[in-house]
Amino acid sequence: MKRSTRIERKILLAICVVALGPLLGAFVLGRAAIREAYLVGVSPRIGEGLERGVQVHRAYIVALRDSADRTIDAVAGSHRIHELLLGADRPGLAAHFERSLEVYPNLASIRVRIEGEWIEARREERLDPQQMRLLERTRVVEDLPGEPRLELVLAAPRAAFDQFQDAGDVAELHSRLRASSGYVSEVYLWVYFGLVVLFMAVALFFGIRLSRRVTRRVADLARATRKVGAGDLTVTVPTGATDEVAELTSAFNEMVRDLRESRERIDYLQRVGAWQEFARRLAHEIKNPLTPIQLAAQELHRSYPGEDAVYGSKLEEAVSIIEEEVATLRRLVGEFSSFAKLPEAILEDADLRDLIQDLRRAVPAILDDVGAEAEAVQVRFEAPTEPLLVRVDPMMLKRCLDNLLRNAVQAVLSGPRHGGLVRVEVVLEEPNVRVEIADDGPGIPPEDRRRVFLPYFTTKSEGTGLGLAIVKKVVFEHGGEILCAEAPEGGALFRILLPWGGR
Amino acid sequence: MPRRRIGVHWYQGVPHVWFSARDLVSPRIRQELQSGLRKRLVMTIQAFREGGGAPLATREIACGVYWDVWQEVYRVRVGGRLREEPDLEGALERCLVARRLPIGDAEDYAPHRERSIYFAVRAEFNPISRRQCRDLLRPSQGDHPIGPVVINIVRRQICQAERAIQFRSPPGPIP
Repeated sequence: MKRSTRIERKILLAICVVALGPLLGAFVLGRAAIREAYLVGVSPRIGEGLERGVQVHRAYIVALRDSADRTIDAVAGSHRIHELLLGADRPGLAAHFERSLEVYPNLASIRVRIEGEWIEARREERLDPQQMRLLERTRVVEDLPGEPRLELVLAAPRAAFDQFQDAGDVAELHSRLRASSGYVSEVYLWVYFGLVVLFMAVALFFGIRLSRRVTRRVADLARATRKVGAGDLTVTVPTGATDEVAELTSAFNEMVRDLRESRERIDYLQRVGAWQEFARRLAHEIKNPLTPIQLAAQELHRSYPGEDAVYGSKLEEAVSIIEEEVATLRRLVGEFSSFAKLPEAILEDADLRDLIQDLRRAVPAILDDVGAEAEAVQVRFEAPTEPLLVRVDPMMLKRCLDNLLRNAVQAVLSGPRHGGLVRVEVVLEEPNVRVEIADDGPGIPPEDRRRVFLPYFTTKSEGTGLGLAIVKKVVFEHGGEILCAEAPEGGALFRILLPWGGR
Repeated sequence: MPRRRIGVHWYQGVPHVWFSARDLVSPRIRQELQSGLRKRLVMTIQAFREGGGAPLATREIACGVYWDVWQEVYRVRVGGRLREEPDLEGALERCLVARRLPIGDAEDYAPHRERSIYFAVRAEFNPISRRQCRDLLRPSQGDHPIGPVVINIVRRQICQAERAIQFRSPPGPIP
């Protein structure tokens, strides 16, 4: 199992302390409460009451039995029955037996045999063994001739016997419960305690799981922070759930991303600064000898008298080449110089749609500059109708957009169709304004998409590789971002994000 | 477990035993048996191999005894048969004295021939039967989950015999 962290242990300790305190209190109080509650149920008074109930039932049965004996004595010993037996008065006996059944409710039947004939009276409802318990008795009347045998059946309600047994069972159980009162209340207590421990275990289990979910993410954050401290700004931590830790993680990721972008920006600006210094020196060193070279060549050409036609022709050609190359170098020096002297951006509030409008107006001139026919290249502008307030240096940003549009036009012209579509789109994407310049030209290979912003990197035969570097520097100075990607149209896409100034 | 002489006679591979457990009945128990309330006398006889292990065979004799106040006889129910005994001695003789009582079947002993075994007897007064105990202790269905747990534990204690004795025979070989 994974080793628990300190914060995890603290959370679990807190759960235990918070839960155990009341539970221990409940245990102590519950113990007394359960015992008392149990003793109320098995109090000796109830036991005595039950015992007395059993005794009453027993006394009742004994009384039933005594009553049966008295009935037998009364019936068998009656003077009238002796007379009837003596006279062998069968109708009289039958009538007397019926009367006896009426007089004695516990008498179920009575009969006697006289000269082979049974004289009998019976009550069927008193002879049902399901309802009644029967007691058969025989009495011999010894002082009469033939010693006739009176057969009697006595009945008692079976319910009395069943109730006696039931009362006995209950009294016995109560007696056992009372004898085991300590044990039973202890069982209740321990079962209660066991369940409490079980619930505690379950609570701890879920507590561990829950705290581990939080602490694991905190530990991830701590690890990531150490990496950032060591200089690794590529770290990102998964946010996971939607809680405070996730918010913290998200803020951390945002902070690292901002740091990374700031560092990239600083690195880039430092590099560009170095290149600007290099360009300034290069321009200075190259610019100075250009005029003497050009003047010397012109002087050489002018001072030649022209005796040798062949030599004169070669000299003219050489001077022409020198002048041409000096002009190229002068142009380069001019670009280096302007790159070296890029001014600081002076930001002011502006509506980006105005800049885009200016760019739209410059399209014919751009097409003319790059030698494109108006029909060959279609430049489409898409901009919202609402104002798009941004804080920019309008001149510098216009120059950047002009540069990107010019590149796009050149790109579509360099394609196999020598023409195509350029799209300029401006969209508000809070908190940024997105400006996209895309074309359907040959595009930029993925491996070159980052390098295109490096100074002196160019894919054009006559390019200096400074244009996009200047664009990126300007965008950075506006607090924005720029990236190069593949356009949906198939060519290159340059996307600029500028901070939106609000409504 | 105390040793006591238990007679054993082997017949067709089955041991038939005889012994008496009447000393289970104390004066108090005698009084309870005369009360008129139903009581139970249970004897459990088990055959074990010397040295322990699971019983080879078990026989249980459960007696229901009560003094019938109405008819003034002792009623003894052994198994499904109900008998009458005129006095307590007769009832005890029927419930606590074994005479040529077979313990198990021949198959129980055949695999252990010539091994030493002994018989253990446990005689109990008034253990409450499981069914009766269940009915008495929980006549109504409780709806709390803790109830059945507690009741099951408590039953074991409450429904135990009021008095019990145990003894065993000296070891003897299976012929």
